Amino acid sequence: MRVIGSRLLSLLPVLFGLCLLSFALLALVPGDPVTAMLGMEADPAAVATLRAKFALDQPLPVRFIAWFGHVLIGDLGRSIQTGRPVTATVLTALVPTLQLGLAALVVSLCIAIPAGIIAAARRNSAADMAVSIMALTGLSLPSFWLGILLIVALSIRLPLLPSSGYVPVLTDPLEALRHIILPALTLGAGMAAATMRMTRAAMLDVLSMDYIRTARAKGLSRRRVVWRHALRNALLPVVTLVGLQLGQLLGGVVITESVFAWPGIGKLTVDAIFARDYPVVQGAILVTATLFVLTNLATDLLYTVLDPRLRVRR
Amino acid sequence: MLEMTRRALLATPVVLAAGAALGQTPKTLTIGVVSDPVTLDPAFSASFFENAVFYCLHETLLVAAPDGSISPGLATHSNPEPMRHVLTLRPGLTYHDGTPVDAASVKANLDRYLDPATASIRKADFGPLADVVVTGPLVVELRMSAPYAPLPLVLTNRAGMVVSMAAVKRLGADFATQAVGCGPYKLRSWTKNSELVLERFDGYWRGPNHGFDRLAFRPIPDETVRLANLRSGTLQLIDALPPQSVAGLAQDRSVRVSQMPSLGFNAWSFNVTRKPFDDPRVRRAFAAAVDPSVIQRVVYFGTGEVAHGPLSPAVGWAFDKAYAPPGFDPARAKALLAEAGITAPLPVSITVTNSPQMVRIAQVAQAQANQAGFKVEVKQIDPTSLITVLRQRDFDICMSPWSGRYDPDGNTYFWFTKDGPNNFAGYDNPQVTTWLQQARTEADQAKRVDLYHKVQDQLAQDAPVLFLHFDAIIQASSAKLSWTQYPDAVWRLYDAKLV
Amino acid sequence: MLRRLLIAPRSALGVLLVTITLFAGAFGPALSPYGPNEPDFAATLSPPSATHWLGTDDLGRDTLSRILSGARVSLLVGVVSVAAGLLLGGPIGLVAGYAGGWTDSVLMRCMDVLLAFPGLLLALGITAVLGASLVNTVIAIAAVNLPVLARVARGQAMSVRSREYITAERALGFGSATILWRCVLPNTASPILVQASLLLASSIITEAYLSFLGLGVQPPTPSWGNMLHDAIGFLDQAVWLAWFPGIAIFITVLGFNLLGDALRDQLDPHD
Repeated sequence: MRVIGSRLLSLLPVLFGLCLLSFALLALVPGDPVTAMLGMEADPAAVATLRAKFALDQPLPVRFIAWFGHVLIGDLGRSIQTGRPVTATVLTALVPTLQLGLAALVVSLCIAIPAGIIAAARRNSAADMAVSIMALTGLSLPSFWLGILLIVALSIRLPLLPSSGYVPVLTDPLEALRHIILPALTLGAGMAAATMRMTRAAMLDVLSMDYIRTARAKGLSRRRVVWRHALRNALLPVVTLVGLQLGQLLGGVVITESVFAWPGIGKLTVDAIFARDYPVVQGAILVTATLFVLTNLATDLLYTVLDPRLRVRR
Repeated sequence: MLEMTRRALLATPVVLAAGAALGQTPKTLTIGVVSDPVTLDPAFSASFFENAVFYCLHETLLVAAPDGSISPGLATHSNPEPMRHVLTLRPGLTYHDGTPVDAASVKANLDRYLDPATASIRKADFGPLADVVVTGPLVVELRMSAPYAPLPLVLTNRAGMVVSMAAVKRLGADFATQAVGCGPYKLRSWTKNSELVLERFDGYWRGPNHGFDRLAFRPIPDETVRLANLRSGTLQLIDALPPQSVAGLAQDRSVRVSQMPSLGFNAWSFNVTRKPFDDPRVRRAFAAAVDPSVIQRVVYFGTGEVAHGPLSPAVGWAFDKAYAPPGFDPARAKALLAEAGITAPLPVSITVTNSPQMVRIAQVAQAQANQAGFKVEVKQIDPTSLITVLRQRDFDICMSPWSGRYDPDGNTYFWFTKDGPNNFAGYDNPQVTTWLQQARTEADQAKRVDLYHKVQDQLAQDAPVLFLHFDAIIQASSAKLSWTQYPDAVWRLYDAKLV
Repeated sequence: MLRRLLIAPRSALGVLLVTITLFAGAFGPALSPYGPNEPDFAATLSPPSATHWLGTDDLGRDTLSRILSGARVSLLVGVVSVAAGLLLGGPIGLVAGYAGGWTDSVLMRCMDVLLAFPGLLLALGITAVLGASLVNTVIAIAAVNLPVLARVARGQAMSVRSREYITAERALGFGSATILWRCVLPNTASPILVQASLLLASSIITEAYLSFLGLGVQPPTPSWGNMLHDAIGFLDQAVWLAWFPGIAIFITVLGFNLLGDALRDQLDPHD
């Protein structure tokens, strides 16, 4: 418990630095939300009124302290563009992102774990080779290019699947499924590649250990040893990797979400950067980063729980 | 026969509801738009693409036809004296929430736009409007502090949209997402970035039985994807078809492409306040170095028209078809540069946003100008920075497209008078300013046309901007859908139907 | 070591792919049949043919020439941004790991801030602040690479710190700087290099994405990312425009990934 507490405490300066950095970056970007909103035909008086309304005419430190003060009491402010509360806006965007992340994870695990195990169990066979090639291909494909190719193939040439947009599961489950397939494949491919390599490596490690050799020597079949005895222990580093992937996911979905017009947190942030909607950008980055560090922490802890050796060592 | 019965059945809302209860799926028109609205409140609407939803959800006091002629909408208009405009509302109209559309409500709406505390961007549209006075239950008078001929046109735009003030009060900041107006359709549901659904409003002033049961607007930013969804039948109407797709669709009998000239122009501003474009010869040289017909062919794929001046072909009475100032001529460009004393390739920059079309134009212009003695650098900025760059005159040449106005005044006065809000070039020719002021107050249309043509000739001489192209409005729909196209690219779908 | 790298088939493939890219980057412009920015308005969007092996783009420019020329941009951005991240992040990590205590805490919390900031958004923000250009793209990507390299360097420095030979050096009275330079650095170099070669691959992808958003290399200079960006508008008319730059990115990134893997296998006897 004390470990968790001190780890959590050490996150605070990081999150504060993050607030400061995102605020400073945004303040330096040319243009402001009011000119972004009013566009080419703006009336100077309306610009001045709106700037005052959103306190954009205040000095930067004053604005930062005001904003940060509200953050401390859990209020992320309101979007300049839409007037909606940032907390609600970010949470609304988080739902599609988490759905997409989950779907990508399912895609990734369904491909990666069996493939990694087979590759390790039959080291240096043709299957192993194929898995290695697949993994490297997945790692090296730029995701936006993969997305474009999938759109060309499955939405334009063969109009089987919708290539953009999001349908909430509750509105229409079938349509929701159809809409999530292409983005989930795009996002899942890269994740699958990394997981596949990790599964294979971890499995090889475990298979070379003494207790496995003992089990084999006792006459247990190879299949039984691999699936029953080795797998449990080999999955340990895989769990860590998946945890890290989930943390990175929130930042990494930016590309996939823009290609597929998926209304998640990545697209929200990019759109808000272009609209100079400061409160939304800051709120979204803060939430994303907090989830990132918390997932990493959770992964570390989970690892300790799963691996008794580590507990003893500490 | 069957169709007739169906129509008769649909004639009253009661039967419609019964039909729905029996499990009939409502007739829905699904529309692909470029982006999701930011707000549904006309007081704050700034996005051009929001218009697609606005003119279906809200109604304007006066109505403009595609040819620019103005007719009564919610109200009829008269102008008994230059400084007084009288609006008389139709009797018995209500907003979507049942509150009456009366004189008091119209006054409250206009006052809301005008109140500095609202900070509405509509305020500037009303010009010298001094006071709004209720003179009868259905009559309001707009009193001006100076004559202002564009006012009736203003009332056909977003500034002329009226909303339920009861809803404004009740919803506060949430009005932006739950707006209540009196247009042909009312808001049913809105899932941000996914789908906005409107449903028919039976209290609409043109009568109850119009258009579709529902309109579903889906934001699809990617043009290729919008088109693919139209071809697959998921969508029945799409906005902003890319020019490169027009030719390929000629074969497709299930899709109809609709084109018409837009009111605006694509012209790029020279910065005349600093070197090297402070010298009109250098500006003329650049204009002679670039061939807009190549841009029309390569970037616009033959759609729209080459532009020589600010007057749009969409406004027939002011446009001069035969107008052809000296055009593309690299030899003349070189001669002009030599005359200005420039011998080495002249370094200049072109600033554009990351819009693919604008970047393409910039690269064509770059290649051509480099042949004629310039050394062009292309600078990309993000769209939000554009207005800042233009206002601060932080450019040599910068894209400055204009959506246009029905009256030629809008395409000239804002741009070429010394203090015009769109005079990004920093152009100052007192003669042109005088002509444009005269044209604004002149009642005789022939004399106005004469003045605008004089301005056009002078602009070719002074070259404060580089005229490139009159874009076409290009939209596409299912071949079975009938609807009306407008040169401002905005749909009013009360008259849409399947044929 | 080089010979062993060349013998294993996968690393040989990596070396081959990287060599091809390097060759294209070095000699491509000299070999290309046309100028990369040479438009031919009479031959726009022409499919692959004998005159234009990979076809032409929307302005009639030769796709092959642009891909070859884009190799230089991609490599430049990749190599320089990783090198810059290494030059800054390496020392930060080494000092933090070797010194420990407060120095370590302060330096690493700063790196954690950069690390927690979603990488692409950080790069996007930096290019938005500085303006879009080749140099600024490199700066933005270097800032993303910096904390990753600092962390690896720190981890290595920490594990080396307590070894006997370092204690011995300290006992002999050598200063911290000397020890860092003479003993810690050489013993930590290899994992850092492995990480750097993998970052090369991700940096090339990040450049492509920034250009894809219009915030990278400026037109008409071709980069694989902005070529892909241009291609998006013509998926219906000229799909080859999307194929070739993607393949180029894929080959290069695959090459660096294979090379990174091979280096790791060589340098890390544990695996």
